[in-house]
Amino acid sequence: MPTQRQTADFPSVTNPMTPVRQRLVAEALRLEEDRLGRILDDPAADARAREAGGDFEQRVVRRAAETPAGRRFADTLEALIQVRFWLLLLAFGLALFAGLGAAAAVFGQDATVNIGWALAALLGLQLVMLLLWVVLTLYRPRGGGGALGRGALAAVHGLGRRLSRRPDAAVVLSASVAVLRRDGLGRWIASAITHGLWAVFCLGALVGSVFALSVRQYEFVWGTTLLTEESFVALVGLLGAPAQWLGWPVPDEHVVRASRMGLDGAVGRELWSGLLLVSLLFYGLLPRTLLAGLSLLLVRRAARRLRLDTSLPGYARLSDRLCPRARSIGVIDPHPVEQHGPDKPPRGRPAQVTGAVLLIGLELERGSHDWPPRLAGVEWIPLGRADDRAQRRDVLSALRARTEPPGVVLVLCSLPRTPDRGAERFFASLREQTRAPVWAVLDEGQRLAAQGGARAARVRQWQKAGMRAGLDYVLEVELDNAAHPGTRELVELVGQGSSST
Amino acid sequence: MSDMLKVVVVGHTNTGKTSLLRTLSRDERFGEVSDEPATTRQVEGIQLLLSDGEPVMILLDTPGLEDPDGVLDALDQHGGTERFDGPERVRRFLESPVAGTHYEQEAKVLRQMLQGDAAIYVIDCREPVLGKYREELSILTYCAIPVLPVLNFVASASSREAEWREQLARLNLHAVVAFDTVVFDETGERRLYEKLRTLLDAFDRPLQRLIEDRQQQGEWLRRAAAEYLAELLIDTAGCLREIPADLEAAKMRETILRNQDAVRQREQRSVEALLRLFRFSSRHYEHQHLPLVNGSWGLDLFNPDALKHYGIRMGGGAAAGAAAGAALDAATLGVTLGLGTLTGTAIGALLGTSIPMRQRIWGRLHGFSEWRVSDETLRLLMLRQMALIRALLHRGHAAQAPLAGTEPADPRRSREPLPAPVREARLKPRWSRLNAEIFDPARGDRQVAVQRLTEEILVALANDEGRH
Repeated sequence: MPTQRQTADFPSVTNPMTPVRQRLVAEALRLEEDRLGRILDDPAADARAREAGGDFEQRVVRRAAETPAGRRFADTLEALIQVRFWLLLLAFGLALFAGLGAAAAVFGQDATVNIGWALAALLGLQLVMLLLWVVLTLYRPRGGGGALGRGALAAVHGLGRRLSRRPDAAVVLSASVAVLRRDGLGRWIASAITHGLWAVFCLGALVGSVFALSVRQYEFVWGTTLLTEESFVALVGLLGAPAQWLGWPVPDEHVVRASRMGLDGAVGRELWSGLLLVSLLFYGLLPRTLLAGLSLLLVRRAARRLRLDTSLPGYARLSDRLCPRARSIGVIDPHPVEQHGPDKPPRGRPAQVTGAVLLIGLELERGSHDWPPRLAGVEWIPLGRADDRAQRRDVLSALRARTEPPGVVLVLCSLPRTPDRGAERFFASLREQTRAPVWAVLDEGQRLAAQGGARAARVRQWQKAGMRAGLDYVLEVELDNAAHPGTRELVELVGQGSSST
Repeated sequence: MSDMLKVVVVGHTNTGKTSLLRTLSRDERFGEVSDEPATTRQVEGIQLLLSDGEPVMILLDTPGLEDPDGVLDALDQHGGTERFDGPERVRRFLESPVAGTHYEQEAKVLRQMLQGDAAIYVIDCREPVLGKYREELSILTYCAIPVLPVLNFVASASSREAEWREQLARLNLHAVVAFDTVVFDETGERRLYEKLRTLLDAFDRPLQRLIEDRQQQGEWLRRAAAEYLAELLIDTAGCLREIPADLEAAKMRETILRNQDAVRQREQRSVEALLRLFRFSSRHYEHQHLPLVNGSWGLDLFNPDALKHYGIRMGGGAAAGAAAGAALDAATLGVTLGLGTLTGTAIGALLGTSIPMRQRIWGRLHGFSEWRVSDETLRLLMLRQMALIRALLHRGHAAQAPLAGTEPADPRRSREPLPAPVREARLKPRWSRLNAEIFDPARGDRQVAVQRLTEEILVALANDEGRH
């Protein structure tokens, strides 16, 4: 545990690095962002929170600590804790004086002390309050517990707000209230303060009583109007039980009866004063000290377990900044050095073709019932479709098998396809098989457009691929649309009808 | 590192491998995406992380396969005789000279396949089931790791999902996932991981955790989006401006325009926050000239046409304003003005308990009128932002098209009353950030209202999901 400061209350909460304080700062930051209506942008803090790791809540806390506003809140919190420390010291001082005062009031100038009255003054109120605390803690676990302590807490915060001139104090205090309300932390802090104050009160009373009983001589008497003598005997027996159990002498029945008011003779001064002090010890100081210690343990436990309520508005929106879904691990196998040579210069529009027109279909959308396509004015000889390995082989061997060289080989391609090296290689093998010009005819552009594809860009991609493969011409057509300029051009170039006219 | 699940994303060129990685990693800046062949020429990796930062899975983006025909030839030529099994043949092919030259891209893919635990084969299912795809799949099976076909572009009208599923089944690939990288679908993502889980027994636990984590993150995302909208609605509903009643017409108009601007800016802030939340940069949108970024978002919030577009009938506000004799032109029909003017006696009741009586009387005595956002505008704001959130929930991080946010809303919903917390906020000017002087963020009842409204919005979003 680093730098534990000895404050009168819960040391684990005032420790600068405690989880509770970090969460207070996070909560304050959330409230501040809520007030501003936006997230405070601080990429550096986000990055540090991501680096620090941990679950979402821990990252939120870390981010808050790293932002300038968070640091400001931490300073404010520090200042407020200083204020609270002095206020608590004051409260404990007052409790001590109250105890001393109570003892002084009981053991006044009068040489005769009413035992019943003295016990009621020194123990009565705090026993009633203890009973109240027990009842509230047991039966109303959420709201109950240490009314005095809670009051003190509220007063401390109220005073803190006034005493601290920092503008952030209000936010930090609201955050503290919100955080302390969670998981019983505030309840146990309040209990610890309550019991602590009463313990100090009892200590004061004990010290005062010891002092008064040491330097002055008192006659102890008791009296009752309403009750019987037996009940007083029983009460004394009850109060003296712990002392008796420890072997301390306590007033026996005889002494009790002999001390009744009005009877002459002061008996058992030492016994009575012993009973008084032992009662203060056993019914005042000890239980309160034990309960204060227990409360402190519970405070520590609650502080250890404290987590932010990340379902509060404002936290969810941080999840994406603080918990990235993925992390790049970079390039594993790098980009190759470009090695293909310069593209061959594009050829211009070829001259009109004479001779047979061969047609090959490459990965077309059209079904087999639609093959070969018809185009008015053009007579072509279908060589087949080249969609898979076997078909490509067949097409290539059919081309090789032709004895007379054709006028042109048309490869009908589909624009929805992205040109790939497979297609390029097929073009290249066609070029190898024939001396006739090989053209790519790009069809089915409407379908690409229907998919939302960019037609002109795709045509350019095919032209590039065609050039790389050494094709002689690449043109776009719409075989279903005779009015399309590309279709008209194709008919003009290869159409048998056009050559005759 | 070596025992982490490694999945290689493969596919023909230009089918959306990098897009899949972008969408799964929610990172629209990963790699390079374009409608061109061979955009990705390198192998690049990404680790999928859990919320606590623990990496669970490596995804590798690979260059596209382009020439399966040639690779099969090369495998026949260099892969040795039939005695060797698939991986051995692939290894022999990789050692051959063509693997470094002509089939360099394919070799990169196969090299990763040999080291990976599984492969995701991305399919552009707008394409017919061509021979080359079947050939690619048969090459991939040589690598002897599970292959999960993922059908991309299933949301497209020309999708051939059924045809693909049938053909894949013939190739003995029965685990198939439809996952559109552009039209994101949380359940699709979940199915993808679940299918991987069934294929990869050894990685059952990390995949399970990934699925749970993604679900959790999805919930956070929806909650955060709903919170932004709730805040926006509460702020706008409570907005209240005092305008001196005796202002001359031009000045009055100017003041109203200024107020409208304040509301628009508030909406704009919310839109920016939402974009940021869903990790869509406005950088991308500026380039696309999305009107969002420039202040007015498509249809103008106060434009009566915008109200009509969303099927909102003009309510009594405008009529009441006209009855009060307030000089308003068409541009201000969207707002209820003139309530509580010194002369507008009849309508004072409409104001209800918007501000403390004392203040109202004081305002009246000093000749102030109050400007508030009308119910119609609020409803429009809500519908529009809901549409935006829905669009963002279903936008993949590979999407390139500009964000279209103005789908006409369900006409039935536009007649429903405003949610209760919004109606309450109408009466609580202190809840609104737009009323800077009296805004009180510490009010617990505001927080409760925001939380309640957030829940209502989440329910509405969940109902939408259910309908689709």
